[in-house]
Amino acid sequence: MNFESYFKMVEIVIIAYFFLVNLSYVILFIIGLNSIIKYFRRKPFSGAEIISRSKSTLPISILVPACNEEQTIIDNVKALLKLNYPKFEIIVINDGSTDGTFNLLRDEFNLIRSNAVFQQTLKTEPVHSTYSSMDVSNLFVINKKSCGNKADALNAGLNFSKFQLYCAIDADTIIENNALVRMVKPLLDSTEVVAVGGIVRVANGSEITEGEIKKVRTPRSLIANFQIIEYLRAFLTGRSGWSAMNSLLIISGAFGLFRKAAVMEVGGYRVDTIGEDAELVVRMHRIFREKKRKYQIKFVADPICWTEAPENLKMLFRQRERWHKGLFETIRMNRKMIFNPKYGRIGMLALPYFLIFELLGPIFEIGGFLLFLVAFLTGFYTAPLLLLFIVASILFGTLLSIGALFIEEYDFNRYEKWTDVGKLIFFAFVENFGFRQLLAFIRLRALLFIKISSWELIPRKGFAKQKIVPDAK
Amino acid sequence: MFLIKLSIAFIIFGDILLILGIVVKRMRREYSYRQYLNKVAKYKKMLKDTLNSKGKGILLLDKTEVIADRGPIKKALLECIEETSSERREKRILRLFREIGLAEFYFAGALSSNHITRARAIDTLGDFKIEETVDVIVKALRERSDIVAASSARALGNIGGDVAIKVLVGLLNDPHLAKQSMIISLIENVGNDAVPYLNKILINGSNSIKIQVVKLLGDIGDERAIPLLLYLLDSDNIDLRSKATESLGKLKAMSCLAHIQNLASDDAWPVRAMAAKALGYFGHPSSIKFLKELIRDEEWGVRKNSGRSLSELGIEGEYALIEMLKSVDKFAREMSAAELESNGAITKFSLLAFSDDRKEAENAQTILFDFDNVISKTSMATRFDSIGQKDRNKEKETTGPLFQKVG
Repeated sequence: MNFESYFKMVEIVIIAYFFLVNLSYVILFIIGLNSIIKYFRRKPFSGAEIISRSKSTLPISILVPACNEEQTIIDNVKALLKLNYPKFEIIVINDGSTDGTFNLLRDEFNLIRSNAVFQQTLKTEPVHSTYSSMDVSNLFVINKKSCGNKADALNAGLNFSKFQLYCAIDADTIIENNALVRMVKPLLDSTEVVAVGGIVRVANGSEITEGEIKKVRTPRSLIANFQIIEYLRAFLTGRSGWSAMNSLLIISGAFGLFRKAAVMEVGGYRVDTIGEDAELVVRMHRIFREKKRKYQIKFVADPICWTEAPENLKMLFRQRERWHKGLFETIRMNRKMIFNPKYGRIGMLALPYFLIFELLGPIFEIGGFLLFLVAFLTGFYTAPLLLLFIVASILFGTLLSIGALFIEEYDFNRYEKWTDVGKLIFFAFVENFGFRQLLAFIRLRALLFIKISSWELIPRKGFAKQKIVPDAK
Repeated sequence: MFLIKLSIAFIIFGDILLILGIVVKRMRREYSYRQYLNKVAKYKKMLKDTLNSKGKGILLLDKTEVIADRGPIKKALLECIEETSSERREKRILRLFREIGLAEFYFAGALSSNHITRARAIDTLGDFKIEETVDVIVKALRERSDIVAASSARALGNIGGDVAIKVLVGLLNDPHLAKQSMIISLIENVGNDAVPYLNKILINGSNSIKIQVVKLLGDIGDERAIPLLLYLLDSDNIDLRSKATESLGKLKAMSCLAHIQNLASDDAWPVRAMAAKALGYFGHPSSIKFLKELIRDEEWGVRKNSGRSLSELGIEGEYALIEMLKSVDKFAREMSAAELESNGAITKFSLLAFSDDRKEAENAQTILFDFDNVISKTSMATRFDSIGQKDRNKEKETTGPLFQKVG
């Protein structure tokens, strides 16, 4: 076999990859769109009002692990305190912050040291002290020794929490007022539901006052705008599609609601991975399927959690490397499920998808471009087919991005201004020419230099500094 | 090759279509919202004209127009009801709803074969308090569709009036738990008007229904329920007795205080627990001696409620709890310490311990010393109800590494 034949073979593999990945996106898009449409049709009759008033609604412990989050922690806790939910407690786990996170909390909420004693069901690093607030009865702060891992902080919070349901959120996020009421619905409807994920969206540029999103706007930063599109695409098409097939593998660590007993049963969060959120969900699938237990893991498109996306390349690199390493670890830790019929759709469909198209995807994506480039530059091969295919793939990306925007416009309609929608349409096109390839490169780099790391301390601008003065223009 | 070129063309076409879809949807939304607001304003003006008798206003509309614009007309009517403070005027607006034929339209909708149409129509009939529709609504309430059943129950709650209340109270027998809890909350919203009907159930109903009614009566807080609740204190059924005790506490029926205090020595612990809770509701200092006894009770639930009630009795109760820190009974000591911690008294004394007033500081330090003494010997987690409810023997066993004490 000569070199040209090898080249042809590689070309066929890459074409087959792009074809399959795009086909899977189309399928996920259709399934996701269908489930979102159904959800919004049923929404007026979901009984959210009854849930928010009923005394029998299950109370929720909200766990907020925080490590050096002084920029956002106060806004975040204030927003949580305003949540429209009958009964909940907020547990901030201060995981060895070296900045003013704890001092700010203590001064703002009048914290006092309490001699709380609690059962250490899950092993964690020692807790130094616990605090409760003199101003609000449902706010607690745990100071613990950091082991440099968010999972350990969440486990400490789980030990301390007292309610059957818990919601894990990031300290740099803002939850919408009615989010918990909408999110708890599947858990109230069926005891089979063990976890529910909500949609995470980018808050950069929006007008935020006292931890509440007042007006949704687009940011000035190019990178943040690209991420708005990316988040919309990932949540509105990807996750809702997987959820409809009961094969959801990721519930974002930034916003997820869980049945505590189910999480305890599988041993809580693993501290030896940085993708603790995905790993927990995959482990739940594994253990419950091994036990032949009926269970469901759902995604609800409506409860919205707003997060601050990185606005510079350095931070974006660090965040995405961390995510990709997390995915690698999750797949490695649960590798026995892959192509194992015992695990049903998870083993035969979801995990292989994540392995081939998400984890190893960058190899094909970057490989495809490199192949084309090398072949083109050396003049060895003009590859019109491959070129056209890559162009088609990139353009297909625009179709998915605009499709996600279309769903946003039809069902959520959060951007009030025409200019914002126009801007997003523009970025939905542009992100496919450079940004997505950059992300593929970051993921490839992460894959090649896998090293277990710890909490990523991403410097935040803070929500308070993002306020847009109306009519600034 | 051709296929790929075709795909590219298809994708570009798809992109254009989607963008057009977004633009069209946005334009339509904005346009229809503006139209809607204009119509609401127009109909509101017509309504006001009609109400002010400056002509026939809204009554001049023909039936087709009313049905076509039922959304804005409904909104205009509801806004007018909200804006008016006169009951007479409100009744007139409701009458107009019938006169222009909308009541008839929604009445037909309530009989539709589509369950969503039915639910929406029933909701509207409820908003406009159309009493004649109660029969249809009751029928819908028994439907399998939760959406229709929920709308019907809401509508009944809105309509109120004797017929609706009677039906709602009658529905307490529904075996469907979710519906039952919804009905209970609706009756609670109806409030005092439901009390005579609920009282009737206390005489005739089964024990399981009676228990729910007793709870409801306590939540509604109408004194007309007191005699029957008092009568139930002698019931053989423990649950009924305990719920009646709690409800009397909520009603703060002072004439029953002595009866409730006597229940502190009841044989059944649920009754003692509720008596402890009820004494807290009364907030009468004469209850302190009973609560001090109850905090030594062998049952955790009784002790817990007693501790909480002593907290609610203000400064005198707080002193009683401080006194109990030195009690010979270990569990009374622990419960008092836990209560003092959770009601913020310990925090207060922690601050007072550094007071400039020497006497005050010394007193606070003594209390804190007693408190620490109890806490340092506490073998169980007092923060959590679930752990506190464990059997005493188990509590003794679970010392050591299982619990992590901080601070």
